[in-house]
Amino acid sequence: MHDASPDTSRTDPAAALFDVRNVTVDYASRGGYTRALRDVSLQIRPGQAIGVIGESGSGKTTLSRSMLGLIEPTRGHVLYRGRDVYAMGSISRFRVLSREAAMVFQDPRSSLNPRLSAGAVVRDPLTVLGIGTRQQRKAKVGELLESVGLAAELATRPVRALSGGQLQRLALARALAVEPSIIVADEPTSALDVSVQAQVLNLFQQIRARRHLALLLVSHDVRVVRFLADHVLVMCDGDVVERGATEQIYRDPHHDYTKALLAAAPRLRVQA
Amino acid sequence: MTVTTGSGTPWSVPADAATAPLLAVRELCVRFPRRYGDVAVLDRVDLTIDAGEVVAVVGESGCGKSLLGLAAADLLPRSAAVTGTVAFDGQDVRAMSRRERRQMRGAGIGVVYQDALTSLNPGMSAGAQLRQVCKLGSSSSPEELLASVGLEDTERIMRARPYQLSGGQRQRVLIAIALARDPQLVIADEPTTALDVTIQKHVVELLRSLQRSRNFALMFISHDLALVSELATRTAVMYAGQLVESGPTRDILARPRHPYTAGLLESSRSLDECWPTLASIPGSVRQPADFLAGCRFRDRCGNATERCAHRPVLEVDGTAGERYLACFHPVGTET
Repeated sequence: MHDASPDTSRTDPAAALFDVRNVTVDYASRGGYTRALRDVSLQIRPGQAIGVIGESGSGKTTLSRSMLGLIEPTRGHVLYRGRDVYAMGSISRFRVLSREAAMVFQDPRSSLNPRLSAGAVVRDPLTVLGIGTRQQRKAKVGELLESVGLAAELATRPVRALSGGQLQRLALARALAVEPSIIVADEPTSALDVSVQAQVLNLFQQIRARRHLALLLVSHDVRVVRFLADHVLVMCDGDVVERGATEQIYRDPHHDYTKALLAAAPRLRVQA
Repeated sequence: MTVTTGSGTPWSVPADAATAPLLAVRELCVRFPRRYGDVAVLDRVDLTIDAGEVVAVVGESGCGKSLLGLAAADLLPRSAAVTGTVAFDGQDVRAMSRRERRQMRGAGIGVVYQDALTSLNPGMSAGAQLRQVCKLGSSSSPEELLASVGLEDTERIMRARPYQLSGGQRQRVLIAIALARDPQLVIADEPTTALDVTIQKHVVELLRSLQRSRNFALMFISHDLALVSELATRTAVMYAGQLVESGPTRDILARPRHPYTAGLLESSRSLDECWPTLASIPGSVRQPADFLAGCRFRDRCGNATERCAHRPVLEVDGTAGERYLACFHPVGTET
């Protein structure tokens, strides 16, 4: 099973990009362990957008990191295009996943090196993975910056001189640099201001449609998940308590926890 | 003391001590000369809060809302250059003696910050921190205070260090400390931002019920219009250090007048209703060093004209006399 050829799964559009099978993750803690994920299964097909919603400690970040080869499951398997991520050697795991799955984090101020120029941030993954010649990389940086709505001239500006919204666009450009099949975004807009959040969410939506990108979106904000994801997993204390089409869960939640989560989100009270 | 600005602002009338609001911020400018030179990081801000009233200050990061909270609590750093006045209970803060100022800061005003983990002392138990404040004069014991903020198991909480408490519990302890000396005004600066939504809901409900039972005035600082709409009777909207609009919360949300407020609301509504493309305000907030002269929102505003290079003054808007607006080209006006 682990040796299913990556080439056949690549050409079969119905095959899952990620196939998470009964994954359990335990963290060691004082005198015992804490179960962060309990028997979670999940498939993501090319172009599909899946949301993971839950509060802190629900296991949503652990799930996304275990898929990216960063946290080895205690039990269960993570398959990427049919290959077991944790059965690969660490070097091939790095080669496969860093070209195919890119990550966008919550706070670009702590996830991007403030001393680098904006151009270097986008160029680095290409350099590290040896993609293109120096000239090609330079041209690509300009293209990437423009594709996320940043002026190509910003390439020479230092990261610390950019605003929060610009930085998150830059983080997205860096993620897109390796032309991944999937973007894993962990709370990509929660550090942004309200007026800028909408710009960045629109951008995610456009780019995903244009490039036929799959997306795993981790968020605590029901509205953000509803906007970007077709399917959603609701997580609580390491369990998936409910899953299904986003709109259906939004309109007709079954599990008590989902109901509580939806009810707790503050809503604008406008009386015309 | 008389305040004469001569510009037809609502503050040109001398303050009457008998009917004076609990907090009156008038023409407040704050500069940080060493860091930002002559740029007013707070630019002629007017705000009043009556006794027992809940007023929200809304804006994005960098709009000066936290700075306004610090100014109101008389906690600005020494590097700040301040003009204008802040009056508490009818008395100009700068005319107060040191003793009176200390009394006001300690007993008159309670402050709840966003991040309870960094605003509590990590090396002291919650109980010790609470007792320290109560010793200075309080109508309640530490245990009573903890019970009043909805913490059961008070014995364990009293002994616990901050890191042994959950985020919601820490925020409740912080609220208990802020209320310990029975303040007339509580300033809550993004008190729920670091919390999960379900916990956030409980903390907001707690603040509201405490405000009703203890009848303190609440200055609620937040970036979240939805949260504000659930809590505040009056709202002031800030952009880049300027107060652009204020009035009854319900009225502002139903009929925003400043293009910035209208843009924020539209953006929020598009996300609530999941529009195919979200409404957004183009551009981003400038850093203080790059603030524009005149209206600071004009480079992102669809209504802006050359006139906006002059600073619009916050003036009464409409006939009811409750709304104030600083804009030459407001939304909902035929021109």
